[in-house]
Parts: sequence; C-alpha cells; structure tokens
Amino acid sequence: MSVSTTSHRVEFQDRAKKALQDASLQRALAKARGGFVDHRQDAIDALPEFDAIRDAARDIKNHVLANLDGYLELYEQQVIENGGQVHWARDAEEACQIIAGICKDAEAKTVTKGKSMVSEEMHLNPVLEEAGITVVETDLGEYIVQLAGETPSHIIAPAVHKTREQITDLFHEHHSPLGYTDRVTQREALVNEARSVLRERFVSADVGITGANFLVAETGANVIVTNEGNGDLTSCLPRVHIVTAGIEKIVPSLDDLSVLLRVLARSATGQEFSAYTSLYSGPRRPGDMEGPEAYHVVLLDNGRSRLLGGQYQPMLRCIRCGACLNHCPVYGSIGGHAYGWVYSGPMGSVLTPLLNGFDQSLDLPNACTLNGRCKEVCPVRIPLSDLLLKHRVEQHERRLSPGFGRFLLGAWAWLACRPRLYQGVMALPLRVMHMLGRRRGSLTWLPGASGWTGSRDFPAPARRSFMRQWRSRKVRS
Amino acid sequence: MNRAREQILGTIRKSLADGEPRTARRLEELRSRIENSRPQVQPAFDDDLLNRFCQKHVAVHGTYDRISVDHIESAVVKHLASMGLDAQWHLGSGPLLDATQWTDKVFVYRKGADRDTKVALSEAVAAVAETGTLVMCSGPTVPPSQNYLPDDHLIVVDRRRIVRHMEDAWAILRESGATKRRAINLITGPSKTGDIEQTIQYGAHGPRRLHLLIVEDA
Amino acid sequence: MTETQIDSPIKVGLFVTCLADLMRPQVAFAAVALLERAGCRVRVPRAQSCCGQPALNSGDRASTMNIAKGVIRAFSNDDYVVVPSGSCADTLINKYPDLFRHDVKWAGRAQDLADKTFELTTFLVERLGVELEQVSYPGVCAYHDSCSGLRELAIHQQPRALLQQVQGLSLREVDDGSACCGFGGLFSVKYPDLSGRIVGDKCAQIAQTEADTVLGGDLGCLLNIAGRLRREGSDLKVFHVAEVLAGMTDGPAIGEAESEDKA
Repeated sequence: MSVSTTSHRVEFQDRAKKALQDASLQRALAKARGGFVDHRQDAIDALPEFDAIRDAARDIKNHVLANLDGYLELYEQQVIENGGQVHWARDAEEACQIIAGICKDAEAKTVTKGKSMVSEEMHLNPVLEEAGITVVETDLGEYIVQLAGETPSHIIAPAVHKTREQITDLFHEHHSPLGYTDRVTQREALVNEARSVLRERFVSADVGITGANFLVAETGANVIVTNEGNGDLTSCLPRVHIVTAGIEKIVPSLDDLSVLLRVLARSATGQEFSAYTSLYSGPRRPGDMEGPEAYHVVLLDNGRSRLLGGQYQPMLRCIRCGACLNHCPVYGSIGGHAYGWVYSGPMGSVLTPLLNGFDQSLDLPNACTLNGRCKEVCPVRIPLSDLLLKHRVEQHERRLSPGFGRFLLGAWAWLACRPRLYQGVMALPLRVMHMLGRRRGSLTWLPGASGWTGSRDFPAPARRSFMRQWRSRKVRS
Repeated sequence: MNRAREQILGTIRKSLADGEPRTARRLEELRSRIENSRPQVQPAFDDDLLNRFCQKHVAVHGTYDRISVDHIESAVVKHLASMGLDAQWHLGSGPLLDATQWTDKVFVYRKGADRDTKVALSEAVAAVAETGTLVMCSGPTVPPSQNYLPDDHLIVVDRRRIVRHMEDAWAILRESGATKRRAINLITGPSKTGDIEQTIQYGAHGPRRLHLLIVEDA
Repeated sequence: MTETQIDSPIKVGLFVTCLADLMRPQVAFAAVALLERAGCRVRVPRAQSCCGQPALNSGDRASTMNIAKGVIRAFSNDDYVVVPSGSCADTLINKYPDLFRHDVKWAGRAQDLADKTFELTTFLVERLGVELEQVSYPGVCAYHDSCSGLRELAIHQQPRALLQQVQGLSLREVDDGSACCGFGGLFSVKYPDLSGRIVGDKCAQIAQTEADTVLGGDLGCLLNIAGRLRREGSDLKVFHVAEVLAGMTDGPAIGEAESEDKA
C-alpha cells in the first residue's frame, strides 16, 4: 500500500524533535491541552451510568467482531434493499480504484468530502485529483489542513496543530483569488468566510464522500456524527453519495447504536451529544424531492480481517473518539504528524504497525511511558497500553528491536537473576556516581544516559546500596 | 469485486477460527437478535420530560417558545420579526404543519433549501428529553436540506412527541416505518465548530440559530 | 501505632526495589521502620535485585520470567510482601500471574505471591489500619500519583490518609494530577526529549500549587521530577512518602546536596 511517510526509528525521533522545537505547534498544542480532558471529565461526572454504558459498548463491539461476517452480510442485504450498492475493497488501492471509478462514471468534476479517516488511510485525495477531480474537504479542520497541503494531526480535530495566525494566513492566501480580499483574523470572521466559500462547493458538488462512525445492520444506514453539519450537506446535496468505512464499523441495531453514541461524544469532546447525528441509507426514495440518485458504500478491509481472533482484536473496537490522544502525554507533546501516518496517539501506535507493517513503525509502541491513561479513558475499554506492550514483545521475539539494546538488556537481566553478584557488581558504579554527584546532590551529565541529563539532572545515588547497609546493620546487631 | 467480497469474508471466517461460511441458521440468529433488540443501559432521570427537554435544548444554545396550536403562524412571524426577518420561509411537513392554515401575511416555499435560504420551518417526528435532541425524517414533503442550509432553523415540536430516551424515538420510527426513509437526522443545537483554537463558534456550515416552537395543546 | 499485633507479629518480606536499593536506601529503611512500628517482623531476603520491569516493558518476557522466578522463590515463606513502589508492586501483583498464565508449574506460585503482595501505603492503611503518632513535617506538599499505582492498584487515598496524620503537613492537589510525569522507565533514556518535555510540564503544574515539597510513592517518578527541578534551579524538596511518614526527612531530599553543617 502507499504510505505517505515510512517511520523508522530515526525518522520518528527526528519528527518528534522537530515537533518539540516547533514554537507555533507547541502554542497550538498548549491551547488544546486540558480543554478536551476537562470537558470529558465534566461530561462523565454528570453521567453515573458511564462505566456501565462503556461495558455495554465494549460487549456490543465484541459481539459484532465475533460475528462480523454474518453482520456484514445482513448489513449488505439492507443496503441493497434500500437501493444502494456495496463494494468490498481488500486494500487501500482497491478502495481508491472503486471510488475513482464511481466518480468517473458519474462524470464528476467536484467532490465534497466529510471528514473520513478511512479515506485518509486510503490516501484517496491524490488518486481523485490525479483523475482530474477537484476534491474539497468540508470539515473546517480538514479544510484548513487541505489548504496547508498537510494531513490531519488529530482524528477528531484535524487542525488542532494550527494557530489562528496560521489559519488567517492560509485563508488570506487561498480566498483572496475568490474575492475575499480582506484579511480576517477573528475566529467568528474566519468561520464565516469558510462557511461562505464552502457553501458554493456544497451546492455545486457532483459527488459527496463521507465516512461512517457506524454502519447499522438493522436498517442499512451509515451514521455520521458532526457538529458542523458538513457531513450532512455532503450526504444530501450531490447526485452521488459514497460512504467509506472500515469493515469493523457495524453495529447490529439502533438500540446498540444508542449505547455507542452515548460514549462517543462524551469521550471525544465532552459533549453529551454532538449537534448532528445522521443516519443515511440508500439513495433518495421514490417521491423524494431531493437526495442523491445513487448511494455507494465502500467497505475497506486493509488488514482488519487478519486481526480478528488474534491478540490485537480489541483494537477493532475503536470508535475513533480521540480520547486516548487527548490524554496521552506523548501526543500532547508532539501532536499527530510525528507519528507518520493518519492515526496518531495511542490508538495510532497500536494500529499503524498492524495495518502498515511492524518493521515500518518500530518506534511507535516504544515511544510510550505505559502510564495507562489511554486505557483508562477508552470508551470501549481497549487495553491500549497492554496492546502496546504486546507489540514490544512481538518486536523482541521477532528480533526487530535494536541489537545493542537487546544485548545490554540481556546482560542486565542475567545479572538481575543473580542477586549476590548483582549487588557486588553494582557497588563500584554506585560509589563513582555518588562521588561525582555528592557536592550538587545530582549529576548534570551521566555517561550512557546523556539524553536523560540533557533536560534534567540525575539525582546522585547513595554511597552504599540498601542491601549492603542492611547486611552490615544486621551483622552489627 | 465479488472476489474481494469472498476473500474478505473468507479471511474473517478463517481468523474467527471456524472458517465455515455462516449457515442460514446462524444468520437467522443474528437477524433475530436485531429484531428483538431492546434498550440497554440508559441514563436514569426523573425530571418532567418537557422541562428536561427544554433545559437540555437551552444548554446546547437553542431557544424556544411554548405555544398553543392555534398560534404557530403568529409565533413564527413574531420570532422572525424579532430577528428583523421577513415572514417567509421554506416549509417542511408534519401533522401540525400540515394542519396549519397559512394566512396571506406569510410566504412559504414548499421545496428544498438552497444556498441562500434564510429560514426553514420544520416539524420534528420526535424529541428526546435525554439530550435535547430533535428527530427529523426525510420524505416526499420533507427535504433534509432544510435542516442544514438555512441561517435560522425553526422546528415545531408536539409536546406529546417528547420521549425520554433515544431508544424511545427509535421505537416511534420503527412503528411508523420511518426507519426505511433515506435520512434520519438527529439535531441537538445549532451548527458549531471548535476547529479554530478549540473554541466554539456557532453557524459553521449549518443553521446559526435553532428555535423551537413547542406546541402544548395539540 | 497500633499495638495489637505484638503478640503474633506479622511476618513481612520487604521487596526493596532496585531504585530504593541503589538510589535511595532511606526509602527502604523508612519502610522497615513503618512496618516494625506497626508490629510487623520485617525480613529482607538477600536474593532480590529488581522486579524485572525493564525487561518486561522491553518485551523480553523470557528474561522477566527468570527474574520473576527468583522473586517468587525469595518470598515464598513470608506472610506478606510489601513494596515501597506502586509500579513494582503492580509487576508482582498483576504482571507475574499474567506471565505465568500458561505455566502449570509456576502459575500457582505466581498467584500466591500476587495475593500476599501489597504496596506499602496500601498495606499500612488497608491491612494494618495504622495510626501514626508524633510524626511531623512542616511543609506544604504536592502529592504525585504514579501511574501504575493509581491505575492498576487504585492507590490514591491511602497515602493521603496517612499524610493527613502528619503534624504540620498540608496537602495540595496538582492540576491534572493523574497525568504521567514522563518517566516510563527506559522510556526516559530511549526518548529523553519527549520525557524531558513531559516532566517539564509536570513540574510547571507542581509549581502552580505553590507547595514546597513534592511527595510520591514511586522513586522512578520522584527521581525524574527531582532531576528536573534541580535542573530548573527550583528549591522544591522531593521525598518518598515513606520517608515523611517515618520522620526521616532531616537529611538531604532527593537530588539535594548534603548541607555543609550536617556533612
């Protein structure tokens, strides 16, 4: 599959370092941090049943995954019954071809898109653009990112890394030729300008492409959840509506959907419910005065079916709320782009190696403190930090981790299994470090861990270890 | 394409360890789970439905008037006048709207909204007290564009159609066959975005304002 | 201290933890003192080094299991095993049984160890119900909850309940207190830029409390926080909670130089 950036150890480290030094990125991240966390907490404090609902949400997802083939068939039957078409894509390239084909058949010149992470995963926009189609992202955040020639840095807040000043510059550059020559800087004015520019796009688009937060087997509907209404304008106005979704997005019934909706918005933005939750099924019905003439669903596998039944299956429960990103100290420090692919934060660090290849993203499962906050906040109880640890085990067992590190670790572990020897061997370095750090109480430079001492001191150790002191105390007494 | 379908379903079956195609009976079991679907864990609350609904609606930046069925037109005109708007709008459909005799003081368009639509007047199929959500269904006389293109969206709500939980709204839709419509739109407050500096701005792409006319005596 | 257990002393094995052993022996002495004052008979098996977390978190299950077997053996005769660290206690309590899940010979023994292992403050509060007396620490303290202890062992109220009994001590909560300090064991060495950045944020939030002391139950985090504070030139003191509870705060705090008159 085509990947925008491969992620080797060095590349991740470089990107992370750049991100840490990017002043405007850091300003934007600092502004976003805390807001998501506090809002979510408030929403959850107001819902005593939250944990019970999370359990139910997890169980529904588990049930679907255990019966995914059956539910996909039932869902497909409903879509067909509603007059829509279902397409199956084994990988990103196949999905892009299918979508490009539909657009070509519809003689589409302009495509509007609602925010769809799966279409980012497919790398769809360049394929359509190559086919001569103008692609317009309509989620305000995605639109900003598209103008900047970038990719989303957060699955629910794609432009979280952009400051208002940067957005002002982008709008001025791209909207001036359209007649918006005044440079607007206030949030309200920026939103109004985008509304006005995109309004023209909405009403003139030939094809609308949206993602799906859920696919309901009961009715054959795709569900999209937004606050802006862009997904609805994308679904309702063009002649053709294409839905892209991973195969794991199925929920059995509308009642099951309710359970998941109750955790989605609260986890994502701390809202009880998003402004717009819409269910679209099939093309316009006979007698309808508007709506698309054709309705296509493109179901993407792209490695998901292989994950079923294995140790990473829980990852397929993910509903893409972004809570794990918002609560991750690493994500909060570097933003999404450093992760090198569409999915970032803890869910990205678990998913990217699985969908993109282990050896392509060796850093991701390791660049984590295993603090477990992601697991704690996950609305479908995905044990994210445990899955990251499983990745590390797999890297170790497949000998993908760096050789020198493995050697050091092995030597240390060998020693740690021999406590008496360990206690003897540790005595000398301990004493040296103690001497070096005694005056200050800490060391400002530590051989072998100069990274640590780059940003903080290393507190000086004791002169003698506890075990030695304890023994002499016992001997004395 | 069919090959892709078979291959994906095949991999799923293989991964799920039985490798067997689902028998008709297995599919029936899943279908029956769907058909017998029941509400699961729901947020409990004792508040009066109307009060709770109004409170939740206001919490998401909505406004409302409680009116009598005879005053739908005058309430709409009055609200629009207060905004400095003319008495004309795109009109949806529903039992209350259909029964209203519009006077010649107002002008209504019975068609989908367009890029310049200022006002639309719709009727909710149901309203959910749990979250302050309005449930709208598309149909021959109900174009969903009216929900998303106007600057001002006015929705008539029959007080008797306010239900407790989301699942109660699904029950109403199932009963009337409305789950088969092309669009079911749940609306909770006006359009908004937090994409610029994570600060809420109203009127992103959809309505800037959402005003309800809650009919108490239909 | 309660005197009730004097008749039949509880036999407690102390799992020192490698960081307390090498970096801050006083934490282990404080743990011993607290346990002994509560009427326990404390044993420190010599056959211990580390719980194996560095190997475990590097994905090296085999090495971790070797280390774990040594720990399981070393404490097989104790009634209880007490650990002055939430993160190491979590390893013994939750990770060992998982490692040996499919090992007929060791699964039971790992579970036995897990069942009798407690983090220090949890043991003092929930098992012994100790009441401290005549301990004082004149200071305004910010308590840092370490991630493993907080999330895997629900350690939150226990240290606070004990600290409330310390005379002269007042507690401040850190904003977004359940956020990680950026230590993460080897993470802090493998990804020092990230780690340094995260601990910088944590220290800024600690500073906002205007506390004069940072307390915590895990030395890893405390070394990280203390190292950062030292680099920033801050005069905040950092102690392990056991040191304060045992009244062992006369010497230098973590990362602090020995004062001349005491040296």
